[in-house]
Amino acid sequence: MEPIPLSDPYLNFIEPTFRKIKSEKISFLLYSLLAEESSVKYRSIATELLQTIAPSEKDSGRFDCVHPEWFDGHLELVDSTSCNFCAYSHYCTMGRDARERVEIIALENTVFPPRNALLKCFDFSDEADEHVPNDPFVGFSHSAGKSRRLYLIEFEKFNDKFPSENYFDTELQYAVGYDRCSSQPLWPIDQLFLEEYEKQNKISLIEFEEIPFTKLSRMKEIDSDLLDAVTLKNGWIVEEDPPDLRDEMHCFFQGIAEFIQSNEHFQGLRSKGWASMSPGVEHPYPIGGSGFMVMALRWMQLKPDDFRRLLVERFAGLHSNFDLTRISTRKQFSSKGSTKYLPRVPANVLVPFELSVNIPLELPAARIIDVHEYDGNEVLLLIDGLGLDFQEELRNELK
Amino acid sequence: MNSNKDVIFSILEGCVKPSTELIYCTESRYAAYPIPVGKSMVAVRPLSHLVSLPLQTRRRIHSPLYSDQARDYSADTPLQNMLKAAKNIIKNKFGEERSIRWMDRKYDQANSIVTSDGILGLFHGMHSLVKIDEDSNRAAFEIEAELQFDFFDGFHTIAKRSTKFGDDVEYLDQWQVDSQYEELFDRLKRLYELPHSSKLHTWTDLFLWTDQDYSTFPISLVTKAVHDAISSFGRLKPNRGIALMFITISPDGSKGIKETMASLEKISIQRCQGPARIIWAPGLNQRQSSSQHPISSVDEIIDSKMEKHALQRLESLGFRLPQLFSHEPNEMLHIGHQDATKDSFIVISSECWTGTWSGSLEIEGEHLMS
Repeated sequence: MEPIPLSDPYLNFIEPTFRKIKSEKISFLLYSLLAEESSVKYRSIATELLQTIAPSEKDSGRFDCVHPEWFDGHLELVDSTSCNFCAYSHYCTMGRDARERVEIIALENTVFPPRNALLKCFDFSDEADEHVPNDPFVGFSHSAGKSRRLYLIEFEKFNDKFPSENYFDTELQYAVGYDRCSSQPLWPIDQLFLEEYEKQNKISLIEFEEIPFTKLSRMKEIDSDLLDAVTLKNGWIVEEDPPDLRDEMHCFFQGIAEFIQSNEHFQGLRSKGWASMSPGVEHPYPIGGSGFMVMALRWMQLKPDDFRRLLVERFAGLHSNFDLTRISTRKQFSSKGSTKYLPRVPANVLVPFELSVNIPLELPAARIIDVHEYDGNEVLLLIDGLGLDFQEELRNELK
Repeated sequence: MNSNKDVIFSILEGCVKPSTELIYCTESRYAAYPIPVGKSMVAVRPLSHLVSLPLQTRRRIHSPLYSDQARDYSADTPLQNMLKAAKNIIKNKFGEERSIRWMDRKYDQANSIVTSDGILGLFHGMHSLVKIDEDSNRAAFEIEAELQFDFFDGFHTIAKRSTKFGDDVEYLDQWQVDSQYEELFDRLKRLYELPHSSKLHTWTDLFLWTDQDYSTFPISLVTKAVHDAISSFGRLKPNRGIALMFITISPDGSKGIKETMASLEKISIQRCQGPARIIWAPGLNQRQSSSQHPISSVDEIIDSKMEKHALQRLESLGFRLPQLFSHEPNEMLHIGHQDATKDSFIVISSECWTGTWSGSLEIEGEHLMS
């Protein structure tokens, strides 16, 4: 598909004029240009050449040079004949379509819709401010208005590639990213936590032995309520479990929260851990809790391997038998050449005129910012990769 | 449509500040009218435009960043130009790689600030890129000030000025700029002087949907619903979207009453967020029914025939009720007197997702983490 320009045509076409010129001086200046190595002298000769070829007042088709700053001194009007002999004609933007364009790449064998359907996403012709680019991702992509690749993929295929598991029914508007390993949307608090966590992911888990799993001080009611809600929702605890398993789970998470709060490796999280957090905005949980407890829960949810290993340590020797299969299995992710944590990319969606199903506007890995109807059968997503090459990303399949 | 416009405008004029400008947008989803100085705007739109609200809002907020950009010249915005000038300074001190990383991160932050606080947020407030450090010399009646910029390694002074007490000096005027920071200062000033830098205005998008012409609804109900929606949702937010839907309960098959919503309208409802507000308006038929007790309070709606018919009607129109009412709605009753009709109505209003927020610790996280 031909690239799509991001602004309306704005071209100065030259009206060709055929004016006879014959002068030994012109020949001399042209030879001089060819031989000249100094840019300053080249500019001087170029100026003289243009002045020599300049049209007279009676010639038609005269106009202002579009780049007078390339020459010395004041320039008279020029015409197409002057431009043909101009020493800088190769660089001149006159009559050239230098608009920024986007190239659309179809992913996963997605079939392109008619070009007119895609052009709807770029139609901002009623926009009062003509300087804002005709880019459907203005305000959402740092590259909006600039030439780049956008990606087209069938809605279902995108959902298959970036599925979602095990997240609360919270509205996804505030989610900021997507974790390809755990197939979960990421929230602002996850981003803060993972930035610290990934810095030390080479540290042996032995250090986690420092986690104080002994009975700690009385847990805050707000944390207790949060723990009950999350552990039940995630299936880590079920209604039929004996009360002591619930208590041990509380003790476990209290230890993790205490570890994040006091361990020097997570020092960067301390100020955030004490800050108040909005449920459903900073994190996906519908009720609030202390920052450190939220981080503890998110850690175990996003890193089930850590959860499993720490639980084995925690419950070894205790009478409770925790069923480890309650923790979801971590997918093996080939990180070679691909990105583990994706930003939630902005997308436009094209829907058939007769849409039989209600498509969700908030996806785990994408936020749909605009919807267009078209004469086709498939629901299609037009994605801005926010700097990611989605062709490469999808080539590295999850194993 | 004009009569609808007149009806809605006359009602809106009674419930918004006199400094508010009203516009009626039926064609373009993206029309971004310049906001006159000191004014707020209310844009009345059809419900189908709601699908584009996040893009509409962010285009409008970000459009000043493109305003001095020649279309065929450069794709860089004044914000990018300013950050590039700072990046070049950082590059000289800390190397190219760090300067690029700094610029990427700062650009994310700056965009977030613009999204939530407008361009002035880059210059004032806790997340600003520049700050003024003042030291007053009372003996000399002077204020010595330093203009500082948040570089890679913290704030550094880029310009100084000395002013007398009582001098009326603009934020970026009369500075003696250190020669190495001249380009940066120049870029900062251009950014500061962009139009629409003020966040004093508010913009409200009001998305309306009716299943028949407005004239068939009691005017007292329409007035109450519009007033309630305008005063209930996000009054302090600089950008807000409100959906307002007028529905006839148990239509008798009269011509002109819609039987279902259009596809885009159904999708639009997903932009509704938070608790909806419901106004129940029992008609004369309902109130004078001999078969059941007339409804005179909200509590009497529960399990009533009116509620049953309303839910059936909403479902047949294509509303996805669990989604719309995922939060417990606030319910009210409207009993019309002078303009009561036989038919019963229900009006649903909800705040909508505009694609902006400022309540999060990380205001906007759409950048790559690894």
